[in-house]
Amino acid sequence: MVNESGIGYGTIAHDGSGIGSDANAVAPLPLAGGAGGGSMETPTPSRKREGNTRQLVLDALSGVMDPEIPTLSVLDLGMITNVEVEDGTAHVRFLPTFVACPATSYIKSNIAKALMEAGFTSIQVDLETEMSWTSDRISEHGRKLLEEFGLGAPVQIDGTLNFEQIEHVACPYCGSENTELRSMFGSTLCRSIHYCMDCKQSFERFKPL
Amino acid sequence: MSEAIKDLLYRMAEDELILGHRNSEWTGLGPILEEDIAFSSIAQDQIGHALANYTILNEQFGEPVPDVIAFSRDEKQFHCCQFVELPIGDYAFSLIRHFLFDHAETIRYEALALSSFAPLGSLAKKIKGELKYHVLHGDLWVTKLGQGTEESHARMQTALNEAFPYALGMFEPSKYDEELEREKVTIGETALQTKWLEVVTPILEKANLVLPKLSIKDRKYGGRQGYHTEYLQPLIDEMTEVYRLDPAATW
Repeated sequence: MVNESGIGYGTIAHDGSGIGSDANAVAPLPLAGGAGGGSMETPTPSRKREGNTRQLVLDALSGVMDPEIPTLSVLDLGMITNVEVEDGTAHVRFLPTFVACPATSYIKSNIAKALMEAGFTSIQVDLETEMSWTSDRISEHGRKLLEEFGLGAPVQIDGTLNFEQIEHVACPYCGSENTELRSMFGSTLCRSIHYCMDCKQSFERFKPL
Repeated sequence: MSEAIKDLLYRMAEDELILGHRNSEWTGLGPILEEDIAFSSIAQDQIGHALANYTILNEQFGEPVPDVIAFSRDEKQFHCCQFVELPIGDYAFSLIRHFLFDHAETIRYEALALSSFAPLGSLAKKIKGELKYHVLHGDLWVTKLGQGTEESHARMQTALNEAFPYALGMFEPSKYDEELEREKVTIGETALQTKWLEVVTPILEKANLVLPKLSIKDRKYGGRQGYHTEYLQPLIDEMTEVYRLDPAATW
């Protein structure tokens, strides 16, 4: 069973066909953003089937969506810090966004479910505690998807967040920079409310953090 | 050393849990929609921060799981300061309390980001970014209403006069202060209070608000030792009402 109770990790192990135990892969994911990522392990030399099995994990993760922004995957949001396949076990390190995000345990169990559906019989999802999530980890692709979804994208903060960065955002509908901050708190913890003076639309934005 | 860190974690978790509960009382009742959402979001953050601190207590020190800690004790076992227990009052009082509390939290977590106790250090690095939104929100409204109309200014000054003696209770010295400082876990309560006053005073001045003159005996201490106001136990009774129906239920 997946342990969903807060910080800790869950292991799923059950019978079924899947990845052979000779499949070994240890390699870090590229960091989505620039600053604030923290250090990563260096890649170890490739072994047989590494590319395949690791790619299977990544493919599965690209289908695990944020429940509040269902077009963005956990990869787009920079919530995955490491992927390894070792002795047939898929290891994923998962970094929640906001401390009080109510979707954390839900996303974690969705990751385990997706890996199970991809054929992994032994799965371990660990919460990343060594580093902090920052909106700088959202990939370029993720930023585009946010705007397509109708949310303003966060600016790069490079470790220091100030009022200018919170206030300033381009309208996701018309691209105008002539926008105004209406509230630092929106319909979810990760959103703020803005108004576009040009196309006269209210919109929400994924907060820089 | 572990007793000192446990005491610190309980104090922080309980301040956030109780004030988070109080702030959530604005949900559906805020004076304008944006402020309703703001107080609800701040409450959600605070309860999340309480959970994170209780989780460290559980995982590092073998204390009960967070729900059991939060929902199965009575007021004498709570370590929160009296400031967070007070009823929400009018909006001016809730706003002033939010302003004074979140600046204190920010200073506390900034110091903890450098902590020698790694689990708290890494949590603090994360939380201090989130608190930035809280303090910017508080600063904005305190300044706006302090500089606003005669009535808004008067209400804010009255709220500050009521809140301030209790706010000082956030920094009630602990018998563990020296040990925590020596072991580089965090800085002591007196040093925190000094830094806090340096931060809030200029903002209050800009808002045309004056800190009341207090004598030492006016400070509302006691919460950290389990001495609470008449308001805490009814809050706990309400907060735990559903849990107590069936403590073993799975959600």
